[in-house]
Amino acid sequence: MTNLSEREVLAARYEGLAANQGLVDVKFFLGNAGEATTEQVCREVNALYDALERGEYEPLDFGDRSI
Amino acid sequence: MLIPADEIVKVLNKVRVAREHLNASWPPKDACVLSVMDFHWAVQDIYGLDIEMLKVSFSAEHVRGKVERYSGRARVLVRASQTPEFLRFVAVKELCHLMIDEADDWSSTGVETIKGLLKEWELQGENGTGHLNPSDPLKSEMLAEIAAIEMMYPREFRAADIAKIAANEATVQKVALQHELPPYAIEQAHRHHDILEDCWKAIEATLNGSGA
Repeated sequence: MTNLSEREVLAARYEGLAANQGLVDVKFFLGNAGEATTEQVCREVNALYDALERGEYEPLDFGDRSI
Repeated sequence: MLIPADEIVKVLNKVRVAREHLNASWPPKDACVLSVMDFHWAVQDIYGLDIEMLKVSFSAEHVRGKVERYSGRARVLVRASQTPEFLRFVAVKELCHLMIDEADDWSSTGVETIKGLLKEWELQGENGTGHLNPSDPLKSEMLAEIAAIEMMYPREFRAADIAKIAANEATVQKVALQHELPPYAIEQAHRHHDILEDCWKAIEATLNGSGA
């Protein structure tokens, strides 16, 4: 069985999101981009999605709402 | 900054609209510190989007956050392990993408976007010319950063802060603390101050009917 690269896994995920959920755009905020490779960044984004699937997230609320 | 001035003006106009919408609806409690949640409300209200924001626990050296856009909704995902100032800045920058990016800026091929962003950094490293003609992904990131900084550190503060820092009466770190921003955002704002001022003056001239 051929292991997929991190970029292949991520590309498949985005194809699925586009086809099944109507994803139209994705943007990234990268730090220290000059030291990163595509495979590293894709690994980190895959790790983000794995964390979401495991429920390792919470609402991001800064508690500063006036409204 | 090698982005055409007219593109920067377009972004600053959207910042102006967002700030006016916020000030008309909910005058800020603290002029120095943007309410991220009020800005979240404003982007939803102006652009008709339902925006979910999540803080995600994962390890990374490079990915601070991301935004996904769908029809009528969006999701902002921010890495949990960051300083409070970066959590704010990343959230605002990703919200700014939803404000400034138009349909011809959109792409769901995230891996290609990542490659495009990193290619620019490779070129910059090799010969220092990578940003002479920024790729679309990098231009979008640079414009979103400009928008985020403008929302969180408005121009009315900057000239005085630049003068105080030059006179050793303030530091970048102190200014960053006042506005609850990472210091590098203050440095970026000061570095590009003259260009941004020119763009804001062009906007004012247009609004006053005296611009070309």
